[in-house]
Amino acid sequence: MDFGRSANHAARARHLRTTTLILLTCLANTAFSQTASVGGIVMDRRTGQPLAGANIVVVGTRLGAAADEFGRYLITGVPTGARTVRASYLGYRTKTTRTQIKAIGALSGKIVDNVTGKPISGIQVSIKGTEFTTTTDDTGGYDFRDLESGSYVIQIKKNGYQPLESMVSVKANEVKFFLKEDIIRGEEIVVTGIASRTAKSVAEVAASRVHAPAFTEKLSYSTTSQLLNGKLAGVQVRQSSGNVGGGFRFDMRSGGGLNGNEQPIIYVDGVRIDNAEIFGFEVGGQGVNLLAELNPEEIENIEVLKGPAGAVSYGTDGSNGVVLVTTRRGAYSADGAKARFNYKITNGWNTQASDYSPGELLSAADANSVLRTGSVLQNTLNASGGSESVRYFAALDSRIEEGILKPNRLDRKNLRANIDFLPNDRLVVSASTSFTLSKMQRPSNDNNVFGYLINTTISPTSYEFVGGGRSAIENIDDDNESNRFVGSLRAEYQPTDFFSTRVSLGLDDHDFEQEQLYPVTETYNEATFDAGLRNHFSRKSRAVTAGFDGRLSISPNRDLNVSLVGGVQLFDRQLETFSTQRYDFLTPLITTLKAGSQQSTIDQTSLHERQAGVFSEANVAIANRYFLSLKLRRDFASRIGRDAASIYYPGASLAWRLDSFRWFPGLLRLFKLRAAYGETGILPSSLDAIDLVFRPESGAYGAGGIAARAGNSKLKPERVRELELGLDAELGGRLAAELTYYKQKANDSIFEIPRAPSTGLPSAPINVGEIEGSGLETLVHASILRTKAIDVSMSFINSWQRNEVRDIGSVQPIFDSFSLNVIKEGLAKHEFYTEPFLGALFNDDGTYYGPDYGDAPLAHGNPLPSYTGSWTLNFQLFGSLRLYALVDWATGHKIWNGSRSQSYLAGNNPAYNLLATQLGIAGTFEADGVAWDVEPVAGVDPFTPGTREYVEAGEAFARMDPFVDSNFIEDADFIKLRELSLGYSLKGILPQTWKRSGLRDITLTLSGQNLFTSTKYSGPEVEVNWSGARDLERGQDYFTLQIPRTYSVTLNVAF
Amino acid sequence: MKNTHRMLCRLLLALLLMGMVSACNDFVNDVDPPVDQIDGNRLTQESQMPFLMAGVQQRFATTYGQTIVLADALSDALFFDSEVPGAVLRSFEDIDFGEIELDNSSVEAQFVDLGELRFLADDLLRRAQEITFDDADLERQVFFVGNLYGGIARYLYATYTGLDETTGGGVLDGGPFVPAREMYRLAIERLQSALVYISDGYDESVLNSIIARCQLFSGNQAEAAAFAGRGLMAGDPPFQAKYNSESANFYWAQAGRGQTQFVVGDRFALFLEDDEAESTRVKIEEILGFDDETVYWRQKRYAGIDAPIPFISWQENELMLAELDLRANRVQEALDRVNAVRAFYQLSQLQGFEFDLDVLVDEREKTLFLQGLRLPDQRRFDLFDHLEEGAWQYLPITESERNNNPNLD
Repeated sequence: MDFGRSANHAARARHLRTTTLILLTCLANTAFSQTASVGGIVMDRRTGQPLAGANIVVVGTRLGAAADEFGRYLITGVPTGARTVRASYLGYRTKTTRTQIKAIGALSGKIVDNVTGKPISGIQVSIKGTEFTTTTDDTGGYDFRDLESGSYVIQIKKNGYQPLESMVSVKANEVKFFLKEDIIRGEEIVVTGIASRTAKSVAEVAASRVHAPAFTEKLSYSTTSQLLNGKLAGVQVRQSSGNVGGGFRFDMRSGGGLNGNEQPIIYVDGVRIDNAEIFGFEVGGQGVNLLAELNPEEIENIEVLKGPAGAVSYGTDGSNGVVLVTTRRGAYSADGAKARFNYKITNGWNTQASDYSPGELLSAADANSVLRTGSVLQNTLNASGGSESVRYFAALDSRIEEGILKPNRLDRKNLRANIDFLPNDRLVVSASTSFTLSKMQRPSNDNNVFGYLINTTISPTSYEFVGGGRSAIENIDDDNESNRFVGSLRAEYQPTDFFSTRVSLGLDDHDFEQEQLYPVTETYNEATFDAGLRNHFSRKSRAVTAGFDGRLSISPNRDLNVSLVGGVQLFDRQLETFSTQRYDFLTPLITTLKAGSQQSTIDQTSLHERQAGVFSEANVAIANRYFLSLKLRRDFASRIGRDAASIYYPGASLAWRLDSFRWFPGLLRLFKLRAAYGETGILPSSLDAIDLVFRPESGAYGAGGIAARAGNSKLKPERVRELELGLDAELGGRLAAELTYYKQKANDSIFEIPRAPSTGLPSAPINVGEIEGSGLETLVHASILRTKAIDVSMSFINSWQRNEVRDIGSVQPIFDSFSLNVIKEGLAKHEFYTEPFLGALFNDDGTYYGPDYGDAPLAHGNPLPSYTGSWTLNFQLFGSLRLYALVDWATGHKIWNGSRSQSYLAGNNPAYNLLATQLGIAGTFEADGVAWDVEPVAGVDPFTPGTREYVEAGEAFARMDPFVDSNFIEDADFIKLRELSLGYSLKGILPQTWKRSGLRDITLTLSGQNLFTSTKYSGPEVEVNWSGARDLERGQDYFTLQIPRTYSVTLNVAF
Repeated sequence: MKNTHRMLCRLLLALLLMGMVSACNDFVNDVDPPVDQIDGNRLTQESQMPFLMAGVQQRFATTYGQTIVLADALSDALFFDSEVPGAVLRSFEDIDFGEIELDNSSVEAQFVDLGELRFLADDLLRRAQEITFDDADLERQVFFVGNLYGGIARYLYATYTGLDETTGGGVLDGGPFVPAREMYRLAIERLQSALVYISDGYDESVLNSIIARCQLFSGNQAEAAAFAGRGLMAGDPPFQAKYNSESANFYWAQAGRGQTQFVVGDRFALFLEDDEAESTRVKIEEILGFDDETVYWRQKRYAGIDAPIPFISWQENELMLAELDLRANRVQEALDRVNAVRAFYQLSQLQGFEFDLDVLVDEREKTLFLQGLRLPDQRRFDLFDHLEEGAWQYLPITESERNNNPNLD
């Protein structure tokens, strides 16, 4: 029996719960049993494929089960009687069936008070239309015998309670579910606020979720960034370099405000986690990203609230969105606490995706020779299960991965244990714990004179910057070790049907150590390094997240549901760092810090900060048609200036289900319009609220006070407002579409305003200016073909964004340290802004003079794409063979190829050298110094000045002039075959003996990542530093390692 | 009764909310201060003045070291050659050729440090003026340090930075461009203020010698002679910038044994060829290029990471007086002064027939070897001919200053 749309049913169920009497009617297998078993099968309605892992629950109890690999389930201990059984499976519409759990010839049960739970004795129970009548005993129980199969109406009457009638039937306890695909995932419960969850079909904001197992079963992801790539509209997650374990950054919508690091706040199981990129003693610009420690194999869902409209209840720091990661948890199994295990082994290879070409670099062979094939080995074992009162998930994971540049290597061990306790129907206590031990070696690279790529791609003669040659670079040790514990404890208590409360406490405890050694035996042409140098850096971070909230739900009538939420959220973070450097070792055999005879650096820092927020929400649902929410948050933070005003963030949102009207075309199963408005902010940096901060600087005069930082006691958070309009629609069960338009506006942005160096003061933050952004996000999902044999579906995502700095007050344009990216009124933030190339200049005698470029800078495009998108294909044959592909693209953006300009300058480009020779200036001091280091090309005679060929050569040479930055700002549009996998499941052909011994499935998958790129960009990697590895700098490719191509083979065994 | 109950509920709710707000406020303000930094508003006590004085002196050391290396690189004293192991920094190469972009990172670093030195010195005086000192000697020291280094900062602007290739001068506290001559005047003003707070005759001599140099570079010969006459004398130790392993001598780190980004001009080797005894003044050593054949010369005057760099010495004071004597046609007096300096270095005495202004310039170059004085000397004596016409003769006021200082066009 189908009770129709679940939302209707849910509303009706809530209404029923407000009655004062509850009926528990039981049919037993035997005449004297009060419980029975119910079992059946869960299948795809169209294909008939079993839906292994589908979740079946008996509503109103803690009983449930997960379907096995054949779609079968069995739930025992079900109190006999009229029961609602619900089956759900990701990507399918939830099906609810009301059924009688019966025993032939017997009907028994128990009557209890709905509020107190106490049994009610002496109550009259009768079967309508028959002579069967009885009275409940002291335990509230009643018992009828010798009934025929069929349907009955039970009548219950007692003074002081509302009379109740209930239909029951006496028949077999088999319940089969044939589920329809939920193409828009409307029944998924998504996060809409700090204490709010709702079905996506009624959510008032754009809800974005990545169900991680759907991807981790197809590919082996190194980091969360790879997992999210191309999966969400309006969210880009890009690696800063090809280093394994290296940094990555989020680009959320049009970028929120002007200030901050433009990164979202991230919660894992309710714990706000440290997502810093740690540099320590740098190796050239690429840090260690703490999010790289999060094991994608443990993740169940990643939900993203992309802007203030959705993140308003998270308050300050939420303007660049909120990323909510939930890890996997155990499920109830019919066979009690028996665990289900899954073992997965992945063997893979990281390889060079793009070769350096001799046509571009004379030293290409040397550059290619330093790149290697790195191995990937990942082993994951997880176990899950649960009983009525305890559910658990545990995972042990090891990933050892080598990057393509020696000695880059990541060795990550993750241990996770998640446990849920359900002592009764009213209380759930959940504990999540994870421990990560991560070791990483970083290669020297990027803007590092001891880096591989600088030494092999600048000059035709490799390793001229480092005395000891290649081995001197290879032997630099940069060992980074991380220990991290993330744990949370949460209790949800529902003392009554209309009130629930939740309390949570979480800890992110992280220790990081870096040991860097330049060996005594190598030569670097720097005295500090030549007799050995050891750097030590340590960082300890402790962050506690605590929260408390309560929800009051009221249903004055069946068409109106109101819930009120209030709560408080607290955050406490302490951070300490310590660094020291010693050098000049007398023996290579002992290189401890103590053995270094010279001390050059010792430093210690500490930070303690707190945030708090008091939030409230009111949610109203009218006739399952209109949904309205109002939100307000008051924030407090130690970083806010003492003279700043109180901080409030309001929000409101509305959804309208047009498909609920009778007149609406039935073909559109869901058609929802939504609008949301919200405000959030970004906090100042620590100590920003202090006008002037001094720090000690050590030297021969002792440790003297130096002005370290200028602040602003009136500083308040940047405020970002967002209006979001959208529609969600599902057409004919085959096509789902989501369309969202947003407009963001930020003011009071906090910005480090560089002061004139002559003031002697460091840059200072002020609330300044205004920026606007907008964008359009489109997601279309289509089920192309679904038969028993073939299942084909596709998804298409496209996002457009733009932003414009509207006002930065009286402040001059703000440049990055390379004077390339700018914050300037009338331009998008981070726009490339430099003098334009105009042509070549020639002397009066016709000889080449140099490039002509404009006196004033001009905009040359933006490093962040205007359009991003992806196309995903899922193909399944006979449920066994699975093909998956992800293609993504980005257009409308630029990259500055600094590596290319440097190689020209040093005479490492054949075309540049040829032109210099043809102009007769190779190796001379002519032409503004751009050809000093160019060796004349043998056998090439210079052209005669003034001739056409000379002028053309001059024009081409000027266009390559390395001192004209605009010559190296290139189109960076690309399309990539990002992910491809082919898997085969042996489930259908496993021998019965294996199945009987507990083996459930074996799957073999071949996969590849970053397989093909089409782009006009001349560098080896079009994505590096798209989002920058450092503040303000974006889209600058300066000897950054390319992202590798990865091939892998995965064996997955379920038992 | 019902109304009372409702009112009580509302009151309780309001109290709860107020309590939560108050608790949150207390919660976020109850944080530990950082261990490595301090609010400048807490540095207002007499007892904190030594901390701030040391900061001024420390910034002087780093600024001065950077300034003289870059100045010597721009002069004909040092040169950059990528064939020298260790010579890798393009921004240094640009300085050597006098083709300095306004965003040259090495010049930017020096300019930022110089701004900090000026600020820290002036800020020290501002704080000191608001304190009633119990310790008179400490008070004297604080005002001495603030004025001395405030004066030196202005001197460095006047001597080394420029608005364009040939216009020297600097910028103070985001103000308009101050031409060199005016900047020297401001420097002298501070240095004369410091004279009020000297502790002994040595301090007075140091200040007089520095003022004399400022006057000399300003072209005020009479005033220069007057102050130099009260300046450092033979036997006085030099006033110098000090370094250690945590704050390295910039010459050692970038143009010496630490890393050899710059080598010294070949003519210094010729000085030694002509007279080996010059090694007491011209301290250089031979190194080979990447080809293991080409010979370069590296300075070893600052052989260690902690080698101090003289800022002013009695030798320079004598040479200033000699120059002033010579310009006043007191040739023998000038020669005597030069010979006194040479005697200190155990060099032969110059004879009258071989002594003129050119010789004096050479003596200055050798005696004041790698102290950043060759650049102003090349300009003063019209010897800036080692670079193409149009090359920078000063370290440019940087792009960051021009971009962020509305008083600069």
